[in-house]
Amino acid sequence: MNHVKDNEFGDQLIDLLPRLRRFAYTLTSCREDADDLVQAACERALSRQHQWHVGTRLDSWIFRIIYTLRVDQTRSARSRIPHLLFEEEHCQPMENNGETKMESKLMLQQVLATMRQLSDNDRTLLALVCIEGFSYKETASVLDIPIGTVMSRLARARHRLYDQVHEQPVH
Amino acid sequence: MNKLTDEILMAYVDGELEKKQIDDIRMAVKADPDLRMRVKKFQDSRTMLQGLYDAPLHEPVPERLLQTARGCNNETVTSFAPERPEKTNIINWFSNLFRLPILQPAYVMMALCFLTIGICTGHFMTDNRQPKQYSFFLDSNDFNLGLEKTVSGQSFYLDNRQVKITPVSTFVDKTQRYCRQYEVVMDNNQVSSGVAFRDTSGRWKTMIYTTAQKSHGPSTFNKTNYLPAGADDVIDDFISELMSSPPMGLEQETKLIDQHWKASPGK
Repeated sequence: MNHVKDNEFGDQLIDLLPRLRRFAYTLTSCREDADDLVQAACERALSRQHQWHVGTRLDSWIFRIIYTLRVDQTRSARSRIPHLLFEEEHCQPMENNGETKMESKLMLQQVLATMRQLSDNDRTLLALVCIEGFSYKETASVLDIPIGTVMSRLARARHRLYDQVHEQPVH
Repeated sequence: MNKLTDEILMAYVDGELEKKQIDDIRMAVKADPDLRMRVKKFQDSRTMLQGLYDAPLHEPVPERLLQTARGCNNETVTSFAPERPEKTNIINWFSNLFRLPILQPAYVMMALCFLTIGICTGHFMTDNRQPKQYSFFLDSNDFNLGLEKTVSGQSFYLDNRQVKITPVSTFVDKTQRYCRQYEVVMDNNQVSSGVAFRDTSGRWKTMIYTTAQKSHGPSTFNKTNYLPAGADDVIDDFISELMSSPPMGLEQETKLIDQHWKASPGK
């Protein structure tokens, strides 16, 4: 059976919200856009919850919704400009030592800046595999593409990320 | 062995290959500095993203999203309102019990202060200061397995993804034991740090565990005790006192993990 009580579905959705926000933030590079995206995804998920199969991963299903909405959004090119200062404020390096802290901060800025320059496809793959910890198979399922495509695109995305982070000056 | 493509090396780094393939690649990587560089690129590209976008995990979810997830739009938000009178009734009941006027915020603050002082006093007076509240997982097999198999900078999850643990560094202590520092993020955004050593039976035993609370901890500490106050300096001081040599690099860690920590720390 494919039925789950509305309140159970809502509870599971609430549990997932922090991760959904992180995923959306990775895609949009903007906290406000990310929350708008998550809100739209939740609304869509609630209206289509009958399409979700109990026993399968709810996170994969909603990540897919977020991804689809994001693709629609970028097509209509209505994204806001990333809020750089806000993001930097929230990304704190882990080290305590002063010098290391500064280096870490610069590195974080470089990585964030590079991520913004990557394509949506690259960011989505990096978000799913390197941040959310999805396997290649799970990622292929979320994006509805063959696993071989996931691997080749992801390898290229990681090359681009690494090369650009180590090339570009800090802004 | 066939040519090692980027996809295969990446899958090796991401733990997506079978054991046989892993062994073959490990040998190839060992013998070829160029391959090592290519592997490092994939390792680094993953590590540099760790924690970068974690801010939403450490802050409250905006109310508008909670309401949406509950299936409430703005018009139906008021359906949550009936809880308030119930709470007020309880407050009134307490007020009547102690013959106080209706509780004001000042009374609540005073009560909370006394409660906090009471809890802290009780906590510090007890001899057995174990981290029961925050560390229910420290003795679990999953936690042990996580520390056993996860390289620094990568995370593993416990308790249905409600607890995220990230090993931070690995080092050898002065009594020649492997030790690992780790960070814990609970689903309620509580951030903690710990240091565990690996005993002869292969269990990771936590020696110190601190939480990022804004309270003042004891000025001195005992290596086996739980410290509820969480200045990062406490952990840093503890580690610098404990460590016999600098923390290991990722390559050395990976090798140890692959060898199930069998190599003697002294060598």
